[in-house]
Amino acid sequence: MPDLSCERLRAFDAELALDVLPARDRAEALAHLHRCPGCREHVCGLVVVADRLLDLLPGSEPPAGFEKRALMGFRPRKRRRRAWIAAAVLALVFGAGGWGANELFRQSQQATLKAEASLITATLTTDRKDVGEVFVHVGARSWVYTAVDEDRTSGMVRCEIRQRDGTLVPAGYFTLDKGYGYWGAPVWVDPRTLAGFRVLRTDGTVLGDAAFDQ
Amino acid sequence: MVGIPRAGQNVTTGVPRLGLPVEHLPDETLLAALTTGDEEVAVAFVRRFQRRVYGVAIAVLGDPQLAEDVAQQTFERAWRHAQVYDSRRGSVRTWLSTIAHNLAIDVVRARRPALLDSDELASLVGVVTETPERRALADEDAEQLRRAVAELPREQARALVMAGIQGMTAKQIAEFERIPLGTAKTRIRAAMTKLRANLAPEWTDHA
Repeated sequence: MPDLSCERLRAFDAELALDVLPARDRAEALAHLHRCPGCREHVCGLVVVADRLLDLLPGSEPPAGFEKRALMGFRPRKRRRRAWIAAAVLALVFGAGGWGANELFRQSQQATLKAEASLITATLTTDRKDVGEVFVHVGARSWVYTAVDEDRTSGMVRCEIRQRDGTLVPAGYFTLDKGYGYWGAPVWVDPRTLAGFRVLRTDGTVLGDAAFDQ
Repeated sequence: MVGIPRAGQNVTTGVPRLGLPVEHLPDETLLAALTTGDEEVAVAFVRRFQRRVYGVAIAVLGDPQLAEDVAQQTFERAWRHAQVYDSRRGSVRTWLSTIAHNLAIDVVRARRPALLDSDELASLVGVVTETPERRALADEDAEQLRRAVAELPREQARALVMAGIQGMTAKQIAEFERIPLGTAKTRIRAAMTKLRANLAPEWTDHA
């Protein structure tokens, strides 16, 4: 993908901040922002303006019974529960040391994490649609677990961890069956550099992307 | 052994209520407490923000049933992602508004080409520009922004509302306004540039 110049980026900075750029332009713009701190800061300022525009919309009373219906959403859906159950099983297995560490991560530099153990979750999305979730446990025994539920893809997919400097670290492979599948592995994760996670099809297209810095 | 919490179980840190009724907890604390699965907290959270969330959804969609669906999804998403909310990036209210807006725009885009009509657009532009009634209710930052929008040339304010509220692309705006694509892009950019320049530096400098 050709790199944009700063001048070109700033020609559609407002559309980028308002998230109304066509997909191809958006991808090029994001790639440029990744490499250009000056433009990134500039666009971030415009994003703040875009977000605050919504504060100008008046509040409105929802229909009767809304509160009860909204509270129903605070319970895990049936299929998502499978992800939690699988994650719990993985936690037990990892805890017992029963999973062989991925070779890539055996070679990774080990470090003692001073941060307290915590679970970070994010939604895998594509074109603003949820296609799954990713869970990263950061601690003495870090691990990553993802569940995909997107209804279409079958076959092998691969996972990558995105770091704040833009580097992508291969994490592993798993198989989707009619869009559904899950995967987990022990992975050394530094919360200071962790930025995102994505799942790609074998042709390199992104099936879902999750950002942890939102 | 590493334990993994179930949905609704606290995965960050405990949230002491400091003896306050949940209705009096600050927004950020209430959001953090949402992960504990405490039903009283959940009710307080929905009650506090339902007008805001539904207001964004209905402004974009104009359809009460679709707006309610989007508002419900917004609360569900907030619950699922409460632990990744970052107060440095904006208030809970703004965060929820952004979630509701993104979900509403998804619905709008799925329904294209049913674009809004001129009356709806005029009404939306009126909503986001200054009126005495709204001035009395608005917080200082929102009021500053409302004034800046009201001072924009009308065609720029329309382009801003179409892009920023309705999620229309420059191409769609050009078709709606029957203007060249370049003109639509220029109007969007000019509006946003002026708003940013008119706002307090602390708003945008540390974004």
